[in-house]
Amino acid sequence: MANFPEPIENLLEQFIRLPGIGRRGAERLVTHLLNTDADQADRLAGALARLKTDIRPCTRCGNWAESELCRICDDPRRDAARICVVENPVDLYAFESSGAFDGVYHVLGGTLSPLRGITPDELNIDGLERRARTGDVTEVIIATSPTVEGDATAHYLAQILAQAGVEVARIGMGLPLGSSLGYADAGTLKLALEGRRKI
Amino acid sequence: MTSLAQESPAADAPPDSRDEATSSDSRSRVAEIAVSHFRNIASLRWKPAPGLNLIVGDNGQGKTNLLEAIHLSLLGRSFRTRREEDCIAWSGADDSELASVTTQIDRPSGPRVHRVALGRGLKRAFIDGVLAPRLASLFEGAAVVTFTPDDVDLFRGAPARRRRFLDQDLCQGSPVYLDSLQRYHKALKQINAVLKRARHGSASDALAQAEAFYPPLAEAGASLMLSRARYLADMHEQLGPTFENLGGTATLELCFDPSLKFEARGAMSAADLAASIAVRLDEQHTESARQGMLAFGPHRDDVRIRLGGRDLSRFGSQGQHRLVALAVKLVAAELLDRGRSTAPVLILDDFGSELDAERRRAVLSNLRGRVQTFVTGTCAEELGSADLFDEVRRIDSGRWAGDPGGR
Ligand SMILES: [Zn+2]
Repeated sequence: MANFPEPIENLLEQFIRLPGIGRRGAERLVTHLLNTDADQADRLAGALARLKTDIRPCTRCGNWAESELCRICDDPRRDAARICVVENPVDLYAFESSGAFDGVYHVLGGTLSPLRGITPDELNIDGLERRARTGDVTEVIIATSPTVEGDATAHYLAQILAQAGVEVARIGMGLPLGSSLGYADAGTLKLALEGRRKI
Repeated sequence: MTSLAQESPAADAPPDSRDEATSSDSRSRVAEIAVSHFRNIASLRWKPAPGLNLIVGDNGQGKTNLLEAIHLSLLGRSFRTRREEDCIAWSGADDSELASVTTQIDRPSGPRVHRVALGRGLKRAFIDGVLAPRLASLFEGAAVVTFTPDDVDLFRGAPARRRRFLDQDLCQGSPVYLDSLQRYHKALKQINAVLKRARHGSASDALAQAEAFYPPLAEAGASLMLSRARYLADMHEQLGPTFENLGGTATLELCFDPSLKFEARGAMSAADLAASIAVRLDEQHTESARQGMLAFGPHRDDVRIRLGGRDLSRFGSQGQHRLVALAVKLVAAELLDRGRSTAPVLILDDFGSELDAERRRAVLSNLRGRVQTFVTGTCAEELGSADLFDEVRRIDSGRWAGDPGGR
């Protein structure tokens, strides 16, 4: 197969590495960028560059942050005694938009999956343990997805946190089985939080 | 071949049988089927009878292919092969020429159209013209019980065969069962991944990780075990009378043989059972880690059957095994019919060999007035007589023969 000029091949290759983009999709994106004015390509390049320099994980909770602490950890009006544990920042923002929770969060960065080589070491679990042991925390609510992996992660955390002397609860299962929290609507998430049970 | 291929778009369109007078039978049934480029069937349409249908033809003419196509369109998979690409009658180099089967199912709650299309490395299911998010969505509107010549080994083959039979019927009967089954196997795979690694070192880490997956495994496992126990108890109750109707002479007893023994008291709740499974998992952890896998649990369940007080897995003629398997399938259809709003369709591929004329006739008279049934045979007379059937069709080289055979 004939190759495009090198700068195009180069960008295609970068696009194809992104999730959900194949060769065809990458070609469409490149064609689009070539056909629009230079400004748009610059804005895209700038936004990409800023993404990695301006966003870092919050040192306390692991959420996307623009400085040391994310906006939630930095907000004195939040109830720091209650931590809601989520798999990723997208789930965190789903809870935030539901407006049902005024505590703080902890982002694990995934769920346990021995099959895919995701062990506790790969997840932000040490950080959670440290936070739970400070004495400021009274309740940890585990809001991992209602999948087998999400449930197992909840059980694993409950074992670890039991020694830290905090109350551990799991969100209620009003959620569709096996679904991802990020796609749940605000009302469902609110009910799931209200329906939490101790584990 | 070319002219048939050109006819395929017509066969591909959703069948329309709404102009037909609806049957007095309020059960759901296949009202019309259109098959296209499926194995040796280039293009075929059929409006089967609501009751007992017979497809006759010589060997290799496409009888079983048609049954397979019906099964595929109702449940989204073949009962013969896992390599469904094999079902595609490739016509030339054009990959877009897919095999497809479209079925209109008439149900008391209204008609529903299933279309399943196969291509190179792809399978798509459509319900009422809309792409189904997953194949299991088809189960909501259709159910099938199948008897194939292989089923003669149902009770003397490996336990996996009996679990597959159980799971197939129970998944069709209940979406909760299907969900539990999927969760169970996911948890099992995760646990086995930990245990396999634990075999080669790092034991304490592995323990904590395996333990994390024990509660979801126990929960799903308890739900499976209780469903299986209940289902087999119901089946046992009906099996005796059905077997007798088919000309069986000795007593037939069926029972659940769970890998984890439990007392099936009426009051046993899923939560109680899950708790006791969890205890067993913890107790057995060291042994499981030594073996590098979980050696007990619902994935090792079995079904026992006794004929005249003797374990049928160890004796019995070909004919006895066939008659028992047939009785079990008839009861399975009966239970599905009772348990849900969508009545199952019964598919019996070559049920008659090794049975004497009297028993074949007994099976067929038993099928009358029940769920819609599809039977294959070389001719109607071989199975009894044509008057037992509501519809007899002859298939020849993948096409309907000019005149309906056997009438
Ligand atoms: Zn934070």
